[in-house]
Amino acid sequence: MNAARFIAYLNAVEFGATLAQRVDPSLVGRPLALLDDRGHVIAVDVLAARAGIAPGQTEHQAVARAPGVTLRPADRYPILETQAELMARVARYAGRWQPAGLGSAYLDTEGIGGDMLSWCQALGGEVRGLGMVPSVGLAPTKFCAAVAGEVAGENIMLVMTTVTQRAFLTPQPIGLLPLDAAALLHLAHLGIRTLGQYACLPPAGVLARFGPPGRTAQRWVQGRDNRPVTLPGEVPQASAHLEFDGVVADREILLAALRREADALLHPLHSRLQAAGRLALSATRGDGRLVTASHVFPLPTAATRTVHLALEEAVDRIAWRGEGAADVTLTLGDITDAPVQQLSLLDITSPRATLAATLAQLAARFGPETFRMAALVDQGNPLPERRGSWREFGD
Amino acid sequence: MSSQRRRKLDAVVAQLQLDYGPRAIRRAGPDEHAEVVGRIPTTFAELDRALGGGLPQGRLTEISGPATSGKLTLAAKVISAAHRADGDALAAWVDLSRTCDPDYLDRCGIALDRLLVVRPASLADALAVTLHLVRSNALAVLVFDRFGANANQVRAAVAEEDGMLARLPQLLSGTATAAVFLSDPREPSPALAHAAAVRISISRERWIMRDADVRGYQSLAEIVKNRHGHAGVRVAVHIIFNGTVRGDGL
Repeated sequence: MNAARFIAYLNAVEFGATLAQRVDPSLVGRPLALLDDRGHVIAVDVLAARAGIAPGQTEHQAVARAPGVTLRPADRYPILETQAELMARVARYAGRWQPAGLGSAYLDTEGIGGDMLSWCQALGGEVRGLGMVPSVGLAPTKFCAAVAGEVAGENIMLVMTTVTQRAFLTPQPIGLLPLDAAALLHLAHLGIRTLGQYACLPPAGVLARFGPPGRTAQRWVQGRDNRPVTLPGEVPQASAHLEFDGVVADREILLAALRREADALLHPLHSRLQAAGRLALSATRGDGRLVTASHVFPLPTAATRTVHLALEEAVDRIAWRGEGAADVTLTLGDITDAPVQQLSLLDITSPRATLAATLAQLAARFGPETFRMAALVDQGNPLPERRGSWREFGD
Repeated sequence: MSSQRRRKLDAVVAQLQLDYGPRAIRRAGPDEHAEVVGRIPTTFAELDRALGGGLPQGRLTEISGPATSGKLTLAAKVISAAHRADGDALAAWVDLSRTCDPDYLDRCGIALDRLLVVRPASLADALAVTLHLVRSNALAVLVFDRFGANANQVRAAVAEEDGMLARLPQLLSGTATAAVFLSDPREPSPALAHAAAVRISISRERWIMRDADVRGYQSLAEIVKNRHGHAGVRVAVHIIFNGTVRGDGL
């Protein structure tokens, strides 16, 4: 097996949970979720994942899914140090590499000679050296490599040609698409269960129903994923600069302007299925002083609400005391590929709202006339068939 | 049994329970590890007693019987009991044969504004919709009326139905939905019989007359299978038409 240009995806299975369990062996055998300083899940073990807990959920959502889950703050364990150590080891194997979340990375094999299987085994050996179980996927594109890495479990999965790539992706579940949970649920209701089915959908229909992110994902599934592997120093950032006529001292006015700029920056990220890892804010005060604040997202995000909250926090952190700003620069940095979200069917809403949401999507597949509610219109009529009638659900 | 033999047996049982879980092997008699299963009463007191409180939630129940045996009424009374117990409870009726009668359901005590009636085009669609509705975990009761469905349609989709029925118990186990399948004893489904936690066979015994008028009928319900209690029990249920359809208790 000779080297050509491929992308490898290396993943340390249960990275955060393994580190926590190594420090505290009493956590073994129990559903475990690690939380960031804002109470969001950033890592889970396999038992918690089976119960439906996924990175990005809140502490409350995690407990609702698995009441017996053990929650621990992530900063109690050496996760960031081990991540840095892993990336340092990874960097020895390829000229171009890119972190892809906690315990995983993409590597570009361009210029690497020799047997790729041995190279992948050696790469996996670096993870084993840290006391963790590796999974490695090697494929012509980033998306396929990531899917191969996820599917490989604790092994190595090689997808060596574009033909085998298509055959490999076709039966994989749609849960591997990096779309949000609502879109994945919608696909499930439409009966789309595999990547192959998704690839065959009409592009215009996908664009109309799932927007630019859905179309981008479809291109990836079809093998048209030309995203390069970008080194950490080359990671793109998006920024916006606001200059005011005078000094703006009202926090709410400033926040409104910044939110509008943040939305404009997030829109192209959404379309390309990317997410920002960092938000930075710098403001020039009326007296010419420059003040800065930044927020690092534990999980890269393009969620509008999360970014708005981080924005508010950053504005408050630059000690806003009505001193005002003459200009402000907002930067979304560490832009990377959006992490895959897990499909969760256990949202905490009222039964009627859940049923209405389910029916809205089922109606698109089976027709709205399939779902009705009965009503009595003429109960005294001697003919039974004239006593009842039908109406739409929720009317 | 000598005390030495009993000690040996206890040690083996303890080891097996340690290796394979407490439910892998246990003594006959009251089960301290028994799962706690919620129940929705049928409103027929004798039948509820025999079932241990009613039809189990998160499980599949099959009610099988010929026409005018009381199976539809039994299912309707389960929905009415769920509606009475919880003002927000929702139910769905998958009406494959398109014979659902709102007037009769209303007389059974069902709150029609909390009943979704699904009228799918085919058995395959009905099965797919059922899986999605169960997965939503929004329903207290789901009734799947396959009685009277086109026999050719049923035979054509038998493989699909078997596949769906194999998945349904696992999906149900994570929900509070009591799924009730009404079936025709002339078109038995082995997959349904296998998947059901409770199977009730019901047949009409006699009409209840007052003077020359039919006022109701008496049916014999036999619990053919019960994973959460005793099976083989037979009880008589009386269904009286008196403006409203009454069970024994309501």
